[in-house]
Amino acid sequence: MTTTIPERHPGQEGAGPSPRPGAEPKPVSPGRRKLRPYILSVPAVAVVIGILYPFVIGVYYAFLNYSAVNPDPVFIGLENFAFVLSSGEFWHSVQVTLTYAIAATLAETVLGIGIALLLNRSSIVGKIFEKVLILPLMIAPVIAAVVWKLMFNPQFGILNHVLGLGSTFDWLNRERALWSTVLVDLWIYTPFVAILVLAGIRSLPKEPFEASDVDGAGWFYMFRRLMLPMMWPYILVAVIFRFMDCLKIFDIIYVLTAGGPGDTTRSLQVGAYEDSIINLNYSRGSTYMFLLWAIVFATARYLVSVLGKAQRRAAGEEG
Amino acid sequence: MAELMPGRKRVTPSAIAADVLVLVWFVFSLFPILWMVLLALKTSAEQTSTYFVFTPTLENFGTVVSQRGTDLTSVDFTRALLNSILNCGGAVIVSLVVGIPAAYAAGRWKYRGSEDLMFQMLSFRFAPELMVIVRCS
Repeated sequence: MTTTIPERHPGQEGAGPSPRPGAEPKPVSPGRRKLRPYILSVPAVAVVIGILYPFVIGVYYAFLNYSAVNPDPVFIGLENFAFVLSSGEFWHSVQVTLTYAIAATLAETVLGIGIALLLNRSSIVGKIFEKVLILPLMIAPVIAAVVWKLMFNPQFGILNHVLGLGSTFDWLNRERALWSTVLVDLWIYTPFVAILVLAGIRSLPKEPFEASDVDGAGWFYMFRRLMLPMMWPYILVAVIFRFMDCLKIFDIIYVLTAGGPGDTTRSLQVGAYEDSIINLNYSRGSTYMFLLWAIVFATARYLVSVLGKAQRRAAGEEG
Repeated sequence: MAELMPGRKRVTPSAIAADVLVLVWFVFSLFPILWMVLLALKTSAEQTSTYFVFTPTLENFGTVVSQRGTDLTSVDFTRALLNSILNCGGAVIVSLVVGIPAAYAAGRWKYRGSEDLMFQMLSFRFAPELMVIVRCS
């Protein structure tokens, strides 16, 4: 029998479960031990390759002139990018996407924090409604958008009836369509932010708040100086998730307006869908997708680095 | 204003105002769901009506699961439900089979490429779904 080599943890010394006393770990040869992490990652690597394959093909399409009317594509270099980047349509889509993402994320974050604060009290009303807070999240976004579309209908929709707006107020006209889609996004995803923030608040230590209460700090001072800095990482996680998903928005907009009226709500992914699946111009759609991916990727990198800093600060390692 | 951390129960004007705000949010949040349920219980002639009091009927539910619903909407409800379950269950199983060993390996040992693999997997969340789907058209 070979002597047992003690398990090493090059990543984190002392991490992981220590062997139970008495239970002798099975001896494994050092060569096989070295291979272990690679064997464990084989399925992950397989999936990564499986997803990267269509992804790389998609990027490759962006450099061809591939479409349904042109089944023998040739390499045309950056022509697609030149075309897309010089078209007003694309920049309009960027503007729509950014407006949507910023407005929805901002409103959801502010409302989510507000609701979390309101529910974090010893009140019976709050206790009752906390149970049904996540109901909108449990409905598929497409179904939610269909229900809202029925409610938005100027003639027989319930909203105009209940709000007394008459039968001519059109929620989905040129000026209001984008804000109506933001409203639906806000309806679905505000509970998501509220739940994350509420979980964050509940995990905070109570002592600092009791201490500052004894010292006579006001509500706003405590919120601004104590709660917000400690909750910042939780809020940022919610913001990152929402902002990433909003940049890629497709389902809500497509069900409610299909990018219309005209192109007022044509977000980047709706535009890509129109180009590649409706107009069957695969290369143009891929170019849109590649540019959208680049935007989301860069934003995500930036936000994650901000989150890392915030987490270190909340843990008291920095300033 | 209301207290920041739950403490003693007090009935103050600010506590009542906070409760009212909670109620306002939940009217907004639950109304579309209520309306969806009401529409499901109305007859097809009443679908365009805006009143709340009516005789509920389960007719629509029967239509959806029957052959008639399939003919009307060209969607076979039981088949669609089965598809959803297969899709969801399959995705969960594959994610777990792939994710748990990889996460364990990356958490326990620092090996060459572990960081890259983890970031690569995360970065698929940033990619628009269409990018991967268009390939199959």
